[in-house]
Amino acid sequence: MHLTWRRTEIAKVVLAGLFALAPAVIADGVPTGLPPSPTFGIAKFTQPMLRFDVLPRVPVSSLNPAPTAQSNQTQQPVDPLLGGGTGPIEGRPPGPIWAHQEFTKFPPKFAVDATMEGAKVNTVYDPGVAAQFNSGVGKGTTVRPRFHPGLPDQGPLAVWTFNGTFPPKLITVRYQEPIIFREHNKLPADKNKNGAGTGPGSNFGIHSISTHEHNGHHGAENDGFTGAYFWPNQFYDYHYPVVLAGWRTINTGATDPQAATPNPNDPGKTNIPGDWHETMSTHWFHDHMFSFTSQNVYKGMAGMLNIYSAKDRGNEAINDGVNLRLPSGTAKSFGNLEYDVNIMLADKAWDTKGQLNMDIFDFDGFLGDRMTVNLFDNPFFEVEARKYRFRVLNAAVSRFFKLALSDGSPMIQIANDGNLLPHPVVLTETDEIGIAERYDLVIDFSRYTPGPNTKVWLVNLAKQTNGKRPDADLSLAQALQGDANDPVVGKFLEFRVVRKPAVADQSQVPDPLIPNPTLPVNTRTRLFEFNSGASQPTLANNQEPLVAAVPGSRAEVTAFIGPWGIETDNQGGTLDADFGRISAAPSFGTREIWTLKNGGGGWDHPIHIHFEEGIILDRNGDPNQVPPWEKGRKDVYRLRPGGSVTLTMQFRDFQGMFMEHCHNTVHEDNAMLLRWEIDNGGAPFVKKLPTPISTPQGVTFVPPDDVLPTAF
Amino acid sequence: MTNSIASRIPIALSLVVCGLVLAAAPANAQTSTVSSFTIQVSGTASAVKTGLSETVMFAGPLVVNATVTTDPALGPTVALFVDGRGVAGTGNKTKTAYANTCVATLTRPFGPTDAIQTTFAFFQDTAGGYMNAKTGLLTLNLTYDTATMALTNVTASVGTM
Repeated sequence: MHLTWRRTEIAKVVLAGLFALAPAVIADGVPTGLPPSPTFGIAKFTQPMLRFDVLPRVPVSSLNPAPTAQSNQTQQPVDPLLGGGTGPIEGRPPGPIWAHQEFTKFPPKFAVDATMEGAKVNTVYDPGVAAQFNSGVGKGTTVRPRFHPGLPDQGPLAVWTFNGTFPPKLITVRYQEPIIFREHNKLPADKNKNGAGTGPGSNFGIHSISTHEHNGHHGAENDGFTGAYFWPNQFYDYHYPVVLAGWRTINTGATDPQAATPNPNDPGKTNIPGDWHETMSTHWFHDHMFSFTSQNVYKGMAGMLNIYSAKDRGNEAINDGVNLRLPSGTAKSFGNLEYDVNIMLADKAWDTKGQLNMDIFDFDGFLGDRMTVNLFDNPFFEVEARKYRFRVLNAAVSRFFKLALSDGSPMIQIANDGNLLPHPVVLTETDEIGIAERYDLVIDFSRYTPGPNTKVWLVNLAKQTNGKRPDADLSLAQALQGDANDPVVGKFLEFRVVRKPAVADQSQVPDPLIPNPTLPVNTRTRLFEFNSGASQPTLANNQEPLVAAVPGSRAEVTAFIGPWGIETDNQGGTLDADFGRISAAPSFGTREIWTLKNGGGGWDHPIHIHFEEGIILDRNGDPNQVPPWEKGRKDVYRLRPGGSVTLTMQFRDFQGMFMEHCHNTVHEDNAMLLRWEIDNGGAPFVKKLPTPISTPQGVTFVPPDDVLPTAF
Repeated sequence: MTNSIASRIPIALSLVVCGLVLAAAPANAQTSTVSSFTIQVSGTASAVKTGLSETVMFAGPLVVNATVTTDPALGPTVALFVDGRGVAGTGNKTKTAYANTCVATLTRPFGPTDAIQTTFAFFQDTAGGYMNAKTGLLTLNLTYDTATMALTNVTASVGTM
């Protein structure tokens, strides 16, 4: 038999082997596991933080070929480096189960046509606001792919981003305005071309990709399932219907005026079906490639998505009794960004040539030694003396952030994980923000007198020198002094209060914001324990030798080993990820209670459950330990060392296979991830969904032969 | 897509074995010790530092919950949950009531003692009062029994930065 391996298997096993060979501790107090990032003489706060680059909306009719409900399996030649022959132009798995659910009911109204490709100069930058609201940088300004003007450009193999450019991309949508997000994979066909080769850690990332819209309420075919990845020269159509959860059963006649979407060209609104208590606001989208999420996201595959509703419409002036009038602006009916700013936090590292690098051999996690905001190293941002909303995203690999203003002034948290809280929470220090968590914070700069020297900084209080968890939360005074062992402690974003607003601030931060939904009767409970020391039974069950796995076999493409894993319902021990295994299968239309337990060591895990928003019922068995900023809906649940979280979720509206995993993406990749699914809501879904196996030549399916006893 | 790896098998096999050995290693043993203290705390926020027209006097219960978890690699760590929402604030001139959002979840290294400073917001307990919140400072001194890893004493005070 000809011995063959898929590239993911090779990489994974090599990584697993090298785990023992890799340095287990940081060198010289620098947390990257690599030589310290050279500074190239750059100083903090010497470049502007550019706002996100708003992706243009295009007519659906401009897409060629036109989007289709089922995956477009038109054949095209496949690069010899990918095995040659022919394969489908679209990487979405074929057939009715992976067809866009409710494509006829929610036909796309517009499209976003984007690429994933190597770093290049941005000549079409659009911040969505005039230059005066973007530290003087206007639309059309050339933006080079670099973390700072004093650093070299990133090469096309070092950084891969949406459209290949800086800054990160923003998609703006409104409820009941379905979109097609067409993503073209323009990465190199040669899998070895994943880095500049300029130094240790310069080669990382994989050219097959899957984009997760975190945490969209739509079918699994659009969720960026970890096994539904697509290849260079393919595209994938993601269909985001942008609907309120519960639309099948709640407010079906769209009679509740609170459940509405803003009209695009006038101050009015249009009622929509669903539960307005499930209104979402701040999402992000990022790669979810099986076993390579950490590397690909770190390499730049991340953007944000703002969802506008009648409650949170991005217009602070419209006073219709529904609009919450949060800081935003007034010029447009919805989606004003003047005072509504997306902020993506991520620690990075680079080599002696200034090219992005990453230690992929430390399975505890990866930490950078440089702080970036929207991919810019320690920048400044000009603000007016008024209220702003900052949609803060932790897009790091393994790092937690704890934020405060340098003068200790209060901020108001209005949303957690993109969901407006029941009540605003005034904070002077945030909680540790786990990876993938989003904190929407309102900062009122009217307390400062504008002037050339009026500055206040965002400060990181969380010291972290190991990927497992923060070492300590420092006091503000300590953090302001910096920390010799963690360069990311301290000031990282300078706000310059440059002027008074030309127009009076009309924004509000009302109380209440969005109360939690009324919950139906619970149907069952499940327990998930997150541990180290996991095992992978799949290979043995399939009686296939690891090294000589049969091409196309289940074991070859879905089974990996890694130190991290999940035990489900106290059965079968702690298991490594296998996206062919069904660990849970809630019934369509039900509610369940899930407990997430941190099973070992002193580490922390921010656990993400796809598709459905949950409500935390208790921490460590105690409802009183749920802090006010976690009283709303969430999709990332930080366990804390020795801790547990009990939450409840509803499973409704759409079906398919989803995931639950640690969003310390190094843990996720190695291999703290499981598959759960909703499959009994009617045709074409079948109980125990077939597992897709992606190749450039097409997607095949294998039956789910590993179903945990308590899954159904 | 497939990749011929015949030439890589020896090294790959050794790495596989290495990886499997690691993957099969038992989970690190964990011990968590949970202890809790409720103490009475008091202090003042001076008008000079808050910009308010009066000094705010604080008094009330403070709950400190400590979960100490062993970690074979990194040493024990403490997950603290501090809840001072029951601490009442009163203006010394107007007798205005002040509410607070003094809730902190903190990660701390474990040791026989720990001195912590954390800030919190307080504001007039009126509709919309949170829009004009001020900053208070909570100073904590924790003592642990290093054998049992339980909290043995907590002292705290409230003030301003």
